[in-house]
Amino acid sequence: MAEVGISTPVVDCADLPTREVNRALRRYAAEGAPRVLVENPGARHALAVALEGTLTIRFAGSVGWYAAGMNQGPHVVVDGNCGWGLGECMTAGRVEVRGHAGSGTAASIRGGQVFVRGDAGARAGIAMKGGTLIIGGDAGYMSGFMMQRGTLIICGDAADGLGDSLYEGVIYVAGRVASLGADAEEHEVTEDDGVLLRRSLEPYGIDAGSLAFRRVESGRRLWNFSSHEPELWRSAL
Amino acid sequence: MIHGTSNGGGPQMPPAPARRSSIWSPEVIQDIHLKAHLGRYRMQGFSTQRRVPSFDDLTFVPCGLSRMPLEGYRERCETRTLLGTRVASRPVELSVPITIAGMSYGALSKTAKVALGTAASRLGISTTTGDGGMLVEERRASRLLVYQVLPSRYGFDPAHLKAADAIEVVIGQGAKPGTGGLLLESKVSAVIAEQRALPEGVDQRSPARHPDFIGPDDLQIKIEELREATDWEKPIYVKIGASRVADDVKLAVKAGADVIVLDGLEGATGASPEVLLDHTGIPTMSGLCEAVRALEEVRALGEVQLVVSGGIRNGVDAAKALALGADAVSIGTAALLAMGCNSPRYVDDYHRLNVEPGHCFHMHTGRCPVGITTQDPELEARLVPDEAQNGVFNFVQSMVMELQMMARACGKSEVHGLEPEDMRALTLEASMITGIPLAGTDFVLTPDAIAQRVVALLAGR
Repeated sequence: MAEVGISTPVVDCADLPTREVNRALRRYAAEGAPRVLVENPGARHALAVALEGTLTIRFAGSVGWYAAGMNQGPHVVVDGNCGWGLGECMTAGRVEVRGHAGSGTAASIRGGQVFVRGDAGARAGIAMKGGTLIIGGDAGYMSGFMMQRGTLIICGDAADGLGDSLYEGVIYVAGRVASLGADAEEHEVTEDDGVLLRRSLEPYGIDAGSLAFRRVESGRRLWNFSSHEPELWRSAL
Repeated sequence: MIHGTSNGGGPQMPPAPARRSSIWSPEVIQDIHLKAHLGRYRMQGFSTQRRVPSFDDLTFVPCGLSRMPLEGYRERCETRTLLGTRVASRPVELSVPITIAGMSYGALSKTAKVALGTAASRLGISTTTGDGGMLVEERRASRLLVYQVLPSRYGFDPAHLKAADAIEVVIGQGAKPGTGGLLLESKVSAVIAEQRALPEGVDQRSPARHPDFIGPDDLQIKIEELREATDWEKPIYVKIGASRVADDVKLAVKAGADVIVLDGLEGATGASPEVLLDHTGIPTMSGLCEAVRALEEVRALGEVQLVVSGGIRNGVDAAKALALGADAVSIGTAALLAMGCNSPRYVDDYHRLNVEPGHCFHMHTGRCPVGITTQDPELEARLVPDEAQNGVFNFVQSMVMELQMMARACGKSEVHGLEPEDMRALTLEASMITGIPLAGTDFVLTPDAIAQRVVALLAGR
């Protein structure tokens, strides 16, 4: 592990197995280091997972599946693309991906914020229980599936089944929606929505005012069974 | 007015006795009437009520002149069990090969969850969280706690993952393989709703698939992530519902599981459509035999431990499971019954559910008369913690004694020494499933054995 300047340690994945990379990151987090640079991540899986503290970790390249999964505070920046399950089950902290993300981005997160500059694959924001997922580009099919709480912002298009069976939480989408999922309803945005969108997107240099967002939320007809809507329940189950 | 003329005016005949249709039985008629009213499938808690091939179809053949038994009440018979020796740096050590199965806080009351943990700690065995996460009180009560990672991730907390002694990735359950959990409106109280991040009072239908992986190759990467998150210390269990057992077991081994938990058709649940309980999955004994063969085929028997659950009722069931190749058994329903489930107290409340004590299956309604499967504070208060945990402790102790009794009678100084040769099958189907000779014969009625016998006969041997 080399040192860059005075205060930025470097972890070089080329020299270490993943286990040692994560151990080094845990050590820096425990010591209260402000930031660390990870070189040659080589799209490896399970990097920077289940970390605590306020460490900022920058990956100089693409990462594999489950990057920053289960984190509880750190700020992770990926100068590249990432695989499935980015930031899954995170409870706090931030993740920024400069490229694209695979499927299941921010799956079941309970807090914190995940930002993907490019596109995200299928089931982005699936089962979110809180927090915010922002996708600068397009989102794959079944995004927001069974979302429970939190905010999903899609600046581009959304593929089929957006917001299928969501319980609560809000989805904002600016582009074309191929189709809404079961019990998802589209509404006009309010002034409050506009304020939230501006504040959320500004840090990433995205002008919310230039995009035509709509709001998607639960129709709440799948919350409890009703024999009066057989078509809805046949498609939902 | 015509009286008694069905005989065409001849001598008056007594009324014909009611005939019971085997197609349109009273139960089928009632089922159709109910569905005509509900507009959906029927729901219930508990397990299937069907008769399926089971451990009852096997019997032990203890020692006589050909083998020497151990003294039944005196000689040592080891029960210690290690789970998770394949990869994890800290395997789970159980005093006996019995664990408490995953049952959620939500399906069960908090008092029941804590009582299970307390009893398990006294026994030196593990208990397991469920769909809804870990209770602080449960962790405190349980010396060995297995943390489930379920498709819903309800209540999932990385801090709890790290605080666990083992991790169980749940792919399915025996009561309803291929489907997700259910927690109906009456049990989604304000507290449960907040823990699961759901609106209060919804019918909670858990997803069938995990949010961040789908197939076996994905599972391999997921397991790697869980190991990285816990510094490769904790054993990773993979729980599967007994369905396509051979394939699932081999894939779980390939994905890197330390332990496979196989839950058979007889497994119970807090709530399920009846049709899933009765018509999906395969029995525990069948699944176990298939799993052992699969582990042998990929040369992982012994390296990857096998825990079986689903209808384990006593120490003899446990002994037979071990003899067939399991490393441990897991109990759920039996532990609840030991706490007082279905006991004849508060009988009026059973009657309000239209059932008698001993026949109650109302885990799904939240109206448990004895405070075990409820979120109603008044009902929960009926469960006396010390009585509940003592009941589980005593029951598991009796299981251990029965298990050791079988082992000693078969001449085994450790329960893990039990083997198929210690048993005979009582039915043809049990013989075919287990590969154990039918009692009174030396026939092994598996297809391979039958083929070998035919070849031998043709060769005049």
